Amino acid sequence: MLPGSQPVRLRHLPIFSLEAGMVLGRPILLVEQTRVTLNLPAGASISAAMLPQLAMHKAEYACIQEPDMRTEQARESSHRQAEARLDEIFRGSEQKQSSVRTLYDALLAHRNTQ
Amino acid sequence: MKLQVSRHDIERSLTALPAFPRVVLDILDALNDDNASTATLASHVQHDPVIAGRVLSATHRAAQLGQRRVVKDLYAAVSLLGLQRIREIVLTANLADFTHLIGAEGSFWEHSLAVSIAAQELGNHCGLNPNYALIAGLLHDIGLLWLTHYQAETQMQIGEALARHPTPRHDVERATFGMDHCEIGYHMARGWHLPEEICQSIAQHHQPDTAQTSSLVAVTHLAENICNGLDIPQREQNRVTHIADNAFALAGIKPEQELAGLLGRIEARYLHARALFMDEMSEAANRESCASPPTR
Repeated sequence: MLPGSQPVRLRHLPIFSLEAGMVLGRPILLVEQTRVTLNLPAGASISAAMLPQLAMHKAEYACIQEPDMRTEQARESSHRQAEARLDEIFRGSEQKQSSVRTLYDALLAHRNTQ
Repeated sequence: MKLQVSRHDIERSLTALPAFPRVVLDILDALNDDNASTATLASHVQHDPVIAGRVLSATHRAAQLGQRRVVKDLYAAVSLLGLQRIREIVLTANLADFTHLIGAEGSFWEHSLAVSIAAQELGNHCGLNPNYALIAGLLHDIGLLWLTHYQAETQMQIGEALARHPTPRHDVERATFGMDHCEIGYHMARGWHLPEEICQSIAQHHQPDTAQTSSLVAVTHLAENICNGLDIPQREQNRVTHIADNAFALAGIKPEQELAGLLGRIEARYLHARALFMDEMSEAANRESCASPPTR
């Protein structure tokens, strides 16, 4: 993130939650057997006409990017909530074990983008 | 109190439980032949109006998203969604009905669905057969259902004790019943003649044998931990207590580079599948609640 610019977050959404105007955060590449049926680059804007096309090509989800409009305070609060829930889920786990720690950290980072 | 459960008890109980859906085994047999697979699916769907309705309804719902025509038959469904997706719908719908007949409730089923999707997504990384991953995910906790069915009161007490003092459930089960739900599930899957790889993934999904773990075992083990960590479905009892050291490596996953994307995809695909299946699953549950309970 550049100083002073709006932070951006990437979110994976099921196709029924997509809306026209959303911007792809990661490319969509759909392949049927060996044939590429749909290829959309990251940064492409989703148009209304594109929504049924995605369903028709059997897409289940897309990764979109959007500006994170939350205030610093709201982000902090959401982070604390996510951390508290993860601590409850991981209560009694072998936290020092590296694979457990890896998953915990990845989940917390994931929650901070939601 | 120690209540010994034996392999013989489990094998004997299988005849009293509803019959395991034959179509699951038929689909597994015909996996490598698309023509035979389509014929197997068509024959099964034609002879089972409930499953036919389920397949066409799920397909129709997907078609609505794409503003496509009404789907009237299996061949139209295959052309719209593809053979693999129809295969998944038939497997999922059959195993949903089957587990509801044994007494699965909504959260059990939603958890199984989530783990099956995570297993498929993880399985893509190590070239696993997506149908094996799907079935392993859907059936990984089948032994838990057996315990709930045959040892209901003790299972409830175990659940209450675990809520107060988080301990790995399988440890408590072994101390109480002499075997845990993983081993019970293994004997059930063997009794249904499922492929040994799937049986092993059920047996070891909590504690993979690190020396002999297959990719499917590692994937099922990781899939359950990831779904619990993601809190999908949201359940008070979601816990992550142990992850085998070599699980990520066996599943071919580089956590630093790949885990973030995987978590997002699993969550989004789960929401998508839930939307396709859950109304149908609720109907199945309602039908079962109106029917007589199976003989114990």
